[in-house]
Amino acid sequence: MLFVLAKEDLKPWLEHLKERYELFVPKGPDGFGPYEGELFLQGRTKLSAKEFFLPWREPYLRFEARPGGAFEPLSGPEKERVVFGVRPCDARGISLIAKVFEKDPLFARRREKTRLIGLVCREPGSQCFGWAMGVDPFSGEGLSLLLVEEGERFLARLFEKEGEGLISPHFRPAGEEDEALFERLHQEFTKKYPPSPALQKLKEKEVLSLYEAPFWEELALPCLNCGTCTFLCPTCYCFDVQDEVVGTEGVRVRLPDACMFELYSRHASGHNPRRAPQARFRNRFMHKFKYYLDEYDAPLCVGCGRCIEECPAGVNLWDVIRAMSEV
Amino acid sequence: MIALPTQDMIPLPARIERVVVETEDGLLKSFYLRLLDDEAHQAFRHRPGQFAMLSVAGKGECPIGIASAPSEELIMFTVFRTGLVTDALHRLSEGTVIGLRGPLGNGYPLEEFRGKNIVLIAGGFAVTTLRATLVHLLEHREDYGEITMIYGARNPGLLLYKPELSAWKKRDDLKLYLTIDREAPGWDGLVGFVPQITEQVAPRGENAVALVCGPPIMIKFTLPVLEKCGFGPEQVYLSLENRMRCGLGLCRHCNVGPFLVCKDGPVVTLSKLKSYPPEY
Repeated sequence: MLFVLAKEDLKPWLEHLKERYELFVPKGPDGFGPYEGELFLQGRTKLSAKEFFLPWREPYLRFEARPGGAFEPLSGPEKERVVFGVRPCDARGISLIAKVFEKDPLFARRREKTRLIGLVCREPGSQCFGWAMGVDPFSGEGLSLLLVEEGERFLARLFEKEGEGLISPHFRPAGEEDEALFERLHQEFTKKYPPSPALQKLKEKEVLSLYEAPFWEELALPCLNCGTCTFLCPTCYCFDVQDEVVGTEGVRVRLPDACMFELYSRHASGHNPRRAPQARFRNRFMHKFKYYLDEYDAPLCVGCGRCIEECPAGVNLWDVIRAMSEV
Repeated sequence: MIALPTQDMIPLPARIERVVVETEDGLLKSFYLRLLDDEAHQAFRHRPGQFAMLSVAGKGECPIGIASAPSEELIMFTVFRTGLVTDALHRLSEGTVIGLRGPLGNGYPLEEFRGKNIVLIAGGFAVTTLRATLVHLLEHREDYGEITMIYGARNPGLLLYKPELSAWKKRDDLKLYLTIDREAPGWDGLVGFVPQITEQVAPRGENAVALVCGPPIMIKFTLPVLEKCGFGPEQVYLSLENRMRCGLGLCRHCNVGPFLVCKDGPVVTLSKLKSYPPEY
């Protein structure tokens, strides 16, 4: 169903949501936070909404830190959450992660408790290439409600029945003209921005021919293995597990990890199957553009461009995709 | 029936019923566990070759192969003292409660092996899950053809499960070849590395499978011997180890290319393994 929301009603509507849900919004260029009046809507944030599903720190067990201490499960967030202002590429990132994590109770619980309200970028950012990775911002993938800015109002497409609670009296049902406009914008986008032909080429490659290709050494040379790309990436989902102990109390936590780190694959014996920095660089891209692509028929990338923008060594994802698809 | 591992990462409390120091250097101990919940303990069903995550509160979790056979009353793990968790485990005494999460991984497809000759090749303390396998095979002896086991250690003091080895030696329905790397006082058995002994024993590949567990160097030199004996790559089963966190195919630490040791493995045929990057 399509609705219309006047721009002047945006904040009153968010206030309405805040009374009913735990509401998060893009607060500034860095990322999301609880809604307190500030809004940053001038493009995507540095951190995506991934942290609402794979938080920076997720304690899931409590224990007494002594030999024989028993484990007691901890539950996740209790309150229903709404995250407003999620870019469609980032929402697709959550959907891609969900294909792997659908049976994970911690992730599933967060998904069940969290609704995403999307906001379409009317013009692509300078480093974005979401469409090339198969993102259709008008599709509503991963979203309950999608807003498209249009002059002094938003067109708002409701995607799931459960999302009805997100609609307030500030909305009015859209007329036929607006329906047609939404359709036109959608069609114009998909016509102008098709998925990259590189994806099909990558599917047809052999794992070992990609793995053994000569270009990795040169491409990986500037990489510092700092992991910035993995932490900013809206689709990277690797995690570490640590026991944190303070005094006699302990919790077991899940934390984002990065395959860029030497410790990530090091055995207790000291042996490391990916000791070389280059091998770790290669693993990240092989996962995104071959292993995941083969398994789920989509690359594990939404083309947000964060890794390109923030890489301290100037590694460009497109150089890697090009090299891989043309090997 | 194989019980499916739970999808969550919550360990079940398990009591250490018995600890056996297995080797002269004391670095290997076997832990015999019983789940505190009786029902859970009775329901625990695994397949030889599977593993579980052992937890020590405050130290963490680590994956260890299950060394007991499915029919055995207690769930047994033989643990090499080498990292944070295994070091903590080694300090625990009988009666202590730890955490157990599993069984995890695929295990050996033993029902597919029915009617075949089985060759078990083990080096060092990688023998643990092959011990589970052998006990199971001997319990279902009539389902299988010839059973051969070649097991080597650096010296006699490092051989695991010694009382059982003596009992197995006496059986006439099992060919057991025990070997040590170098001559040692009091040792009157075979001397030589596992690949050499395998070459002498020369098991035939026809209607047979070989299950190989050992250090990388042993595997490297054993595989060509098996090939010479007529074992095709689809008849050779290996068991992989990699660092892992979740054991459920989520955290990705253990990937060998597209293959996740925890979920798709740890058991893998040589033919399959050859199609993956050598990240193990």
